[in-house]
Amino acid sequence: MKPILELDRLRKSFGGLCAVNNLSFSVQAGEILGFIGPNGAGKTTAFNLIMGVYRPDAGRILFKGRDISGWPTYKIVNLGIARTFQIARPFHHKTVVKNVEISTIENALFARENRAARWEASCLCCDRVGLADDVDKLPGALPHAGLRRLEVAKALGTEPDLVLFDEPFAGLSIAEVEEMSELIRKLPGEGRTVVIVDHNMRGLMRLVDRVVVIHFGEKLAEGAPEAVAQNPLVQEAYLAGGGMA
Amino acid sequence: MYLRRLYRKRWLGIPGDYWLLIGLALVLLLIVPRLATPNLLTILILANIWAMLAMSWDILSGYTGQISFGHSFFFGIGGYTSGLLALYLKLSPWLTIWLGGLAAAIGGLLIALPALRLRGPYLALITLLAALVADRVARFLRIETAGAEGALYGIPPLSFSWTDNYYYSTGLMLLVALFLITVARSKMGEVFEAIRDDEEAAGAAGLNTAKFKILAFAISGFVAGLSGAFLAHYMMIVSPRQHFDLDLSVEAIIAAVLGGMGTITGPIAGGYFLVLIREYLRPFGVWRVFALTVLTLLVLFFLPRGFWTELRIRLAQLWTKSFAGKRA
Amino acid sequence: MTALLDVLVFGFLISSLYALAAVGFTMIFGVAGVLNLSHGAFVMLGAYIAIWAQALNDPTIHLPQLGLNLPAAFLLAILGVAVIAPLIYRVFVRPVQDRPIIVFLVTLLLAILFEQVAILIFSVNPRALPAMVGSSFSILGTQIEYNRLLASVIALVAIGALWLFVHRTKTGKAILALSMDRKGAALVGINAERIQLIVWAVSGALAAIAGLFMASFMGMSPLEERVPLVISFSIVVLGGLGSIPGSLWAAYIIGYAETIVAQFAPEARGLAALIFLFIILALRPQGLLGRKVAH
Repeated sequence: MKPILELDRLRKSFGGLCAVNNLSFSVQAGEILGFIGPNGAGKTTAFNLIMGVYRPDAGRILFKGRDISGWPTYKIVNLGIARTFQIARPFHHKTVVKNVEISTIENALFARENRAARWEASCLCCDRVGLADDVDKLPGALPHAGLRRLEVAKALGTEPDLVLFDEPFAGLSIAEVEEMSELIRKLPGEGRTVVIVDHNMRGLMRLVDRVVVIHFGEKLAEGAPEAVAQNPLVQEAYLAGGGMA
Repeated sequence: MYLRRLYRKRWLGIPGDYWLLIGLALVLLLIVPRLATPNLLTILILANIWAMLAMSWDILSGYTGQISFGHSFFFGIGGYTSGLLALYLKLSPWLTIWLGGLAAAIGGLLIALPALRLRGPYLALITLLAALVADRVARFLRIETAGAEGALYGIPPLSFSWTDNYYYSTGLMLLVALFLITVARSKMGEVFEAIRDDEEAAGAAGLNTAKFKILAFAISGFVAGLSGAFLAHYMMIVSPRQHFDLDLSVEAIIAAVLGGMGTITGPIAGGYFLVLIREYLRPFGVWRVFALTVLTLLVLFFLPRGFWTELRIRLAQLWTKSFAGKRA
Repeated sequence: MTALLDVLVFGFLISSLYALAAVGFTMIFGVAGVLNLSHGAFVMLGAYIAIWAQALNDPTIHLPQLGLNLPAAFLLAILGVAVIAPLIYRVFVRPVQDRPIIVFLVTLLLAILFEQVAILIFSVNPRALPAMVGSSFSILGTQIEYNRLLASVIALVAIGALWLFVHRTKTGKAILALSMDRKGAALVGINAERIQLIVWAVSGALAAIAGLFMASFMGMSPLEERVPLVISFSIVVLGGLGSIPGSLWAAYIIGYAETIVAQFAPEARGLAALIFLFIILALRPQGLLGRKVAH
């Protein structure tokens, strides 16, 4: 299998602090990869590097075989990577469906556009994440779990090949975690690849195909979830960092 | 929520904002000229100009959230460009006002480039600085100026008649409103609003936010420049005091906030209100600015959506209660 | 030689006054992210309170008059602004604090309101405060007024006191902590609300001192509050928003730049500094001395 995303010796530091150091791993097309590490391990920084929020100090990021490091975010998104934010960031003054519609807008100013088709696609996205009844609500009227779903709908609205989830389960109840997992599990069937960031591996065990663990910005372990959970290095990192749960 | 529904509402397939514009056009073009005294007409000419200025501020700051504190920069560029071209190249004022707008749009692009990297306070400062620098540069101009520094006199007018100028300014204002409402309702407007709500999230939605911000600056600059150019030909003067003053930028903000930011029609109402108050309360001197400032503060705290928007919402609610309710 | 000495002496004075005005502006931004556009009005207010307090039977001032002696009037002005500033914060700024755009507009409108009030009471004409001490002495042909010397000394003492306050007292350290990391400061139990009131008071007092001396050297008119605002704004951006030492350096850079231009190319006065600032802002938005904002 050919990797869809490859991080190659990526490095980023802020001031004197090295947030991501010599990080290399690859994501295979169609898999669900867990990207975990204790708090402050550099997961979100790595996400932001992939999304072009920061420019890496060294190393390359290859997506579909193209080096995207240093690209502006929108180009990366248009090439096929979408993300959800750790803290939901909806457009507060737009209804749910309008929030998703934003993801479907093209940058070309005079592109022929079919508003009806866009609206329909956006409604479909809302439906897929279970927000069909809430399309005309403002984000402020949604419960926490609804906002998380909206994040997913917004990401799906860009028609991504790779979706990066930043702690999608944060603050969800057990039942809601299950629903969200169900949602994520369906994505590979649509030809999408998934990377999930979390500091907690327990919720991911049954969801992910493979796990990459990072610690202090460096890769600590990689492999099947069970094997990684048994890895003494990983256990030590988590003990120092306050446990895996 | 109510606001969104209100703005999406269509009557006979035409969105409400356009109906408002049609109504406004009927009143301003057919009714007002029959009833108004010449004095009122001259005031309404200014009101049209200020409405354009406020709308131009709104499409940039109200829609994309990039607060400009130096809109007089664009206003003045428009005025000076149009004035200089008409005065020295003897071009028709009908051509030069558009060239003035164009020059201001280019000014908008120039500001946008550094502004892309700046946020909040830095952006406000660079717009403010642009206006201050332009003001100082204009004062260096020493071409056939009769008296005050940097002023140009004897700019050819569009017409010497008040009534003509009234119709021209009204037509131009309506045209600008039509243009900006269309922009605001298009996908461009949607993107502007998304940038205002959360720029990073808009980028994550695949939008080239830089490009749209530049566009907003250019459009805003164009309209502000157009209004400045009109004022130049109407007053037959351009001067730093009249075209680059900080008060202009402040008035643009006040008018837009009073009427309702991010609505285009609100700033028209705000611009009219501001000019009418300013001109009719002239005998009260300083008190009128005082009153206007207090009023704007009150609106900010108690009607943050602006009086015009608030009025529309109230009326729409009333309508739903009394008519739509019965039908249902 | 004389010109050089003029620049050195006068530049120092102007810069010190600018520093006084700018430090308060930067502190308010530092602790709460509020860009207080009525800061220039505080400067103007300080001057006008003193002008009113020391006046006696002046028919052009539409207020009952006290006729205080000069030091008392100065003290009253400083205290007055130190009380008004936190009040402004509490009544107008705090309710909208988490909406920067509204804070912008509110403080801008307040500034205009202060202008109008000042015009209503004092008229729009410029006024000057009498000098605290008269006469002058000369060094190498440069006349130096004692009043200017006194102003420089007071400015330096005030900045020094501020320095000690920020670095040596608990409250001061809390202010520093708050401007470095608001969330972290809350976690260690700093009462942000109280600190902000204090910062507004201190900032108001410093602005008032700057206003007093500006009024006594250059005169002050109600609309001139915009000058100290633009200058403070520029200094603070140059020094890096929220950084107190950055503002001090930047105040001297801008103060001297302006004095030099005024001395050697008077007609370009103001323009050079503005263009300089514009370029800095475009190329290095974090300020000449500021550090990049960490994520």
